[in-house]
Amino acid sequence: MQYTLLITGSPYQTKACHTALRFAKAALKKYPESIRGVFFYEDAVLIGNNLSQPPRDEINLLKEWQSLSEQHNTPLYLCIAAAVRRGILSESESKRYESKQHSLADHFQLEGLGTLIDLMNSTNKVIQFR
Amino acid sequence: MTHTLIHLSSSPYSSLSCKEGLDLALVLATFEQPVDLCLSGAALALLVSNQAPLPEHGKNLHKLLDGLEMYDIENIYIEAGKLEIESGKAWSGVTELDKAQWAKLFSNYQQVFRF
Amino acid sequence: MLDEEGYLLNLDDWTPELANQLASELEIELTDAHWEIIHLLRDFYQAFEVSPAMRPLVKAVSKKLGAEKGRSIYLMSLFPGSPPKLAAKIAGLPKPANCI
Repeated sequence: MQYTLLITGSPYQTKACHTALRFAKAALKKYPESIRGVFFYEDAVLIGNNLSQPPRDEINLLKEWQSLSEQHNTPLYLCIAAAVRRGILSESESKRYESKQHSLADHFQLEGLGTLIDLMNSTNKVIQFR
Repeated sequence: MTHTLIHLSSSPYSSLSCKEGLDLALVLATFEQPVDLCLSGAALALLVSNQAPLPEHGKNLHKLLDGLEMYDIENIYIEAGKLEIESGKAWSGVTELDKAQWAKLFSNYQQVFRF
Repeated sequence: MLDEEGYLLNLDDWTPELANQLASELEIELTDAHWEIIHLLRDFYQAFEVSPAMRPLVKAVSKKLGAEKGRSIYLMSLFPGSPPKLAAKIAGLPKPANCI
């Protein structure tokens, strides 16, 4: 059984990214190959902002996702349209928009919604966290 | 092939949710994935005719409703009686489902995404 | 005036003369057949507030100009490569989202 996780809830207004992280950890612990990919859409793309600095006595959600991705080789995709609109730009996107800054965190990739559809069609189930 | 239902329940102008839900529906359709829509709650406001949003409100999503057929999105469901507007003052392309059909709707799809 | 990919930055800047100029930079000479599609695209955007990808474009052309023209081969012959992208550039519309 392979899952795709679709996360749409903002990391600040909702616990979608937190709950999905717990789900992913639990699933991967039991079945190492069980998460095919994680796709962030809507405000959930804000998770990929490399400049965010949570208070030191709170969970660093970005780091948590990054280490999960590193440990399990789980790809983390941000919807490119949703991300760029919200100021999450990779180096190449920032060149394209003639911006001096880029803000995309390591281990995250900007992809079109077509990637979500590929994931949808190659896994048994998509679970949305909102 | 997986059949997807996009369920819009957010207010069309108080966040980007409706817009981004519709964007996903259009992309699914563009990739030839069968997709239906259903609307409930605050999202029903999308159906009201004569909308004239300012740029500050966001794009006129009501206009897209007429374009859905170009994407072969032909089923847009609502629950009967929930749209409290007289007919003629709302978009006419919706299919109304009774309570039982509405409840059953969500189990007809491999995927339901809510916005 | 144009972004890095060649789309018009301000949609209000569009004029038919500009379309001719943009087209010639893309090595396309606009004929009546091209204009028919450009106007259809602009009407599509006006009506629905989205730039169509290939499938909806083909369907819209087929509905308005007949099945003979509503085929991707026909659109490819006018706007080689990616008809939705190329035609959107010339018609002064935003880049079609998730265009394949």
